[in-house]
Amino acid sequence: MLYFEKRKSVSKGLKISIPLVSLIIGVLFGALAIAIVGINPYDVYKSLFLSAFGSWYVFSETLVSATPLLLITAGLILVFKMGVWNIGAYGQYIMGAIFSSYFAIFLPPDTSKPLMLLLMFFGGLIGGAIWAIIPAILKVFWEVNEVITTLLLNYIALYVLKFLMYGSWRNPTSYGFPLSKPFPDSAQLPIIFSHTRITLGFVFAVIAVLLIWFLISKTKFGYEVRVIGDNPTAAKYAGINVNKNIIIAMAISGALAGLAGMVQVSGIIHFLQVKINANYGYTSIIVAWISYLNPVMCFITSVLFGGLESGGYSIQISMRVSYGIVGLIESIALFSIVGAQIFLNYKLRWRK
Amino acid sequence: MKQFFGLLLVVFIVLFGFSGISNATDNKIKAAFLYVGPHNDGGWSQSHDEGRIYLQKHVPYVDTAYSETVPEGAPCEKIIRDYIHKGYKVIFGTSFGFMDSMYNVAKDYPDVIFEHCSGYKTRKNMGTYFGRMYQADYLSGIVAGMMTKTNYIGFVAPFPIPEVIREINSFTIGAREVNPKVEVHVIWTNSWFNPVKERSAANTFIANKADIIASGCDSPASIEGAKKAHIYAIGYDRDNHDKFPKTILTSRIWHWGVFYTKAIEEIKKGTWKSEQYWGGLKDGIVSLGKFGDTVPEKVKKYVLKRQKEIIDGKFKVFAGPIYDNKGKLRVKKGEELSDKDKLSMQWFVKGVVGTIPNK
Repeated sequence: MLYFEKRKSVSKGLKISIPLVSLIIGVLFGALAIAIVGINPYDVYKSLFLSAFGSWYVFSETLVSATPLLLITAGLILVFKMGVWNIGAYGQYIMGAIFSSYFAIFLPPDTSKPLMLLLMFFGGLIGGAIWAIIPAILKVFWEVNEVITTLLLNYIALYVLKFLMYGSWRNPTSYGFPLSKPFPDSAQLPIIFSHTRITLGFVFAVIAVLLIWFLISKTKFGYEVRVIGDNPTAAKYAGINVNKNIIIAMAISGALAGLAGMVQVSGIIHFLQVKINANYGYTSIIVAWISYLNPVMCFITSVLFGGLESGGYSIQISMRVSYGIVGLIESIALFSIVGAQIFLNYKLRWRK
Repeated sequence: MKQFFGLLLVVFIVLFGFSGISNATDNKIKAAFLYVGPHNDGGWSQSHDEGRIYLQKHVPYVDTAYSETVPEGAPCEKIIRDYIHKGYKVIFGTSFGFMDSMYNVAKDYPDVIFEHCSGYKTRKNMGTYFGRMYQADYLSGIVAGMMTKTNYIGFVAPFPIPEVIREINSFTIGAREVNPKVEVHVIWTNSWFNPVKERSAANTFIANKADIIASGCDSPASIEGAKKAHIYAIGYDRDNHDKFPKTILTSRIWHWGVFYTKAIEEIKKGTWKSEQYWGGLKDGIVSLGKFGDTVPEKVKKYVLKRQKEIIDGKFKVFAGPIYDNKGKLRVKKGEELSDKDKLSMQWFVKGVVGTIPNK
C-alpha cells in the first residue's frame, strides 16, 4: 500500500520544482475544464496573464488587489514563524474596517484630512489588534487552541458588521440597503499614482513587509520568535518569555490585518458595507505558506495572487467566459499548489 | 524559490509575449452590461440580458458585452473601469447596489455614458431608468384577487425598499378591488437572488393555507414551490408561462430592450441627455404576460379593460382614497399619489400583513 514518509531534509531543487510542477498540473486541469465548455484554454490563460500584467493600467489594478494581501501576509508570517496559527485575519480585517469607519461616519466631514486619516489609521490598527489579542490571551493563560478561537471570532466580527450595517450605521438615504454614509473626501486615502487606484495604502503595505523582515531577522524579538517556533520548551528554558512574545506577535499580526481593512474601506470602497472583501484574510494564509514564510518572497506571491484576482475579473470581459469558469480556474490552481505542499515534507512510498 | 518565480516569469513571457491587449477599433458603439446575478437566472438578470440581445438584434451599430454575478462595491467599480479601458463608451448597471460605484467612476470619465437601473443618483453623464411595474403588479393583483379561494396570498419579497413596497402595494390594491377579503402576507428574503430562501418562504405560505404565491425576487423558485403544492403563482421578470402553464396565472414582465434601443439610438444621434426615465405599460417597457390555462374569460376581460384604461390615462393605480395598513389615510379621495411619493414609499396599504423593518 501507499504511505507517506517524512523527508529528513528538503533540498533547494525540491522547493523550486514542487510548486512549479503542481502549478502546471493545476493549469492543465483548469485547461480541461475550459475546453469542456468549448473555449480555447490557451486564449483564456493568455488573456488572464495579460489582464494581470500586460499594461501599466492592469498591473496597477493587480497592485490594488495585492495591497491588502501584503499587509495581512506580513503579520501572518510573524505569528506562523513562532507556530501560532492565526486563522482570524478575516475577522481582524473586518474589525479594523469598523473601527476606522467610525471616524469617517461620525466625525464632521470637514475635519482636516491628516487628522481624520491618522485617527482612521490607528482605528484600523487597534481594531484588528484587539480581535487578535483576545485569542492570544485565551491561549496563553488557559491554553485554548487559537485555531478555533480565531476562526470563530471571524464569524462574530462578520455579525458585528452586519448588526451595524442593518442597524444604526445604515445610511438613512440608502432606501433600506445596508450601506453606510459615503466617506467624505477627508476620510479617503490619497492616490499616489494618478489615473490608478493605488493609494497611500500600498506604501503602508511595503513598509509593513520591510518592518516585519527587519523585526524577524535583525532584532532580539525576532530571534526569540524563531526560537519559539523551533522549540517552545527549549525557548522557555533559555529564559525567553514565551507568553509575552505570543501576545505581542498576535497583536502585530491583528493590527496589520486591521490596517488592511482600513486601507480597503478608506482607499477603495469609500463607504462601509457588508461586502468588504474580507476573504483576503483567508487568501493571505495561502500566500504566507507559498512564500515559505519569507517576507521578501511574499512581495512576489502577493503580486501573483493579486494578478489572479484582478485578471480573473477581466477575463470575464475579454474572453466572455462565465463567472463560474473564472472561479473554477482559480480554485483548481490554488488547490494543486496548496495540496502539493505535502510532498515538500513527505515522500510517497510503496509498502507491500 | 526566487529561481522558481524567475522561471515562471520566463515561461509566461515565452508563452504569451507582451503583446498587450489590442482591440479592433470600428465605429460601433461599445456598450457594457453589468448583472447582479447569472445572465440566465430565469428572472431579473435574464430579462436584462434578453433586452441586451434585443438591442444587439435591432441596432446594427452597437457592440455589447456583459459581466454577470458582479459583486457590489469595490469589484463592481473595478469591472466598470476595465470596460472603459477596453474602449466601452456606455455602461448599463442593472442593480440598485451598483449606484455608488457608477456614480464614482462617472466623475472620472465624463465622456462615458452611464445608465443606472432603479437608482436615484444622476450626473451630467449618468442617467437612471426604471419602469412603472406597479401598473402590471396592479393588473396581476386583480387576477389573483378573483382566483383565490382561501383569500390568503403570499408575497415573497427581497428588500424593504420603495421599489418592492410599491409592487406589494399595487398588487394588493388590485386584489382588494375585486375581493375586499384578500390579505397579502409578506416575507422578506433580504436578497435579490436566493432560490433556497425564496422556496422556503413559499413553503411557509403554503403551510399557512395560501393558494397563490407572488414574488418580487429574481428566481422562479417560489413558482416551483407553488407548482409542487398544486396552487397558483404570479410570475415576475420574464414570461415563464410555457414552463408552468397550469401554475402561473399571469406574469409581470420587463421589456428592457425597449429602453436600451431608445438610449443607444439617442446616443448615436447625439441627442442623449441624462434623465430619470420611468416608462410604463404605454411605452411597452412593462407588460402583463400570458394568462394561465385556468384563468376564465370573465377575469381576462376585466383585466384587459383596466389595462386599456391605464394605457389611455383614464385610470390611476394610486388614486385615493388609500389607507395604510395601520388605518391612516395616505391619499385623499380625488387625489393621486405623486411620482415623488411613489419613489420613496415606506408604508403598506390596507390589506398587507407584514412590517417594514427599521424605517
